[in-house]
Amino acid sequence: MGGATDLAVEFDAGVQSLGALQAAAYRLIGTATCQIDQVSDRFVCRLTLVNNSTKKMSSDSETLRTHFLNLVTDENLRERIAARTEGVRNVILSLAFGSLQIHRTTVPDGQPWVHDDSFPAR
Amino acid sequence: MTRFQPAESFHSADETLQLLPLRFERAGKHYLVSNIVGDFVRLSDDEMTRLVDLHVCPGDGLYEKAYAAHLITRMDQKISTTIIGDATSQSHGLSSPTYSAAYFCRDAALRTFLSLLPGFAAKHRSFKIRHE
Repeated sequence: MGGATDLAVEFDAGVQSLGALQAAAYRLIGTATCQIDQVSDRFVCRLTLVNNSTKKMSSDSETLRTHFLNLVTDENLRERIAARTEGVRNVILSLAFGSLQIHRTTVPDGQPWVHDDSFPAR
Repeated sequence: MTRFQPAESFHSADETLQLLPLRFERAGKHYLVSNIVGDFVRLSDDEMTRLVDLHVCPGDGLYEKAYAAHLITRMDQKISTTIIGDATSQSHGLSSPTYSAAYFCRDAALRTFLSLLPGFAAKHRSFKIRHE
């Protein structure tokens, strides 16, 4: 690479998930490129600012580093929230599309409709 | 004269809250936080941190905002998951009268915020008419 705005950000593979890094790298598209390598027990992210970027981003490498770290932090939080809410999400999806409470029935005129036990039947 | 009991009387002290599935995006100094269906609320940095850590309690404003937006629920309640399940069905073309009822009870601030989004306003106006 060798551009003026190249920089490498390292993470300990033991505490940082690869998924969050990949998601953060995806969000950098249009602003910078991010190449992720694993070197022994560390993830190394090599960032290069895109020259013809249409997004407002300072060409300062420290700004890019801060922006990337914020993105990674957000992705880590999303992973944490997803893990904490996985059970209830499955319940909601089961209620929406599964057979926990929804019963399909057919009214006399032949039009199918859906109701559940938690709401008075029309 | 009979008076209402203090607010603490209506909630158990060790009430356990649960976070519901949510998505968020940074928007400047604020966060746009949506539930699994896509209803948005705008939270500050501090509110977002308190929400994720579940450092909220009845009467602090954030509890009511998060509860109305179906971002949190109480462990002993099933209605939030039922409502959101219904709404998810609705978004995929299935009937969901329960979410309609919940929508009418939403706080005014959230309705105002949604009304600023042309797509949401159009969607929910037709949604309201269909279930009235």
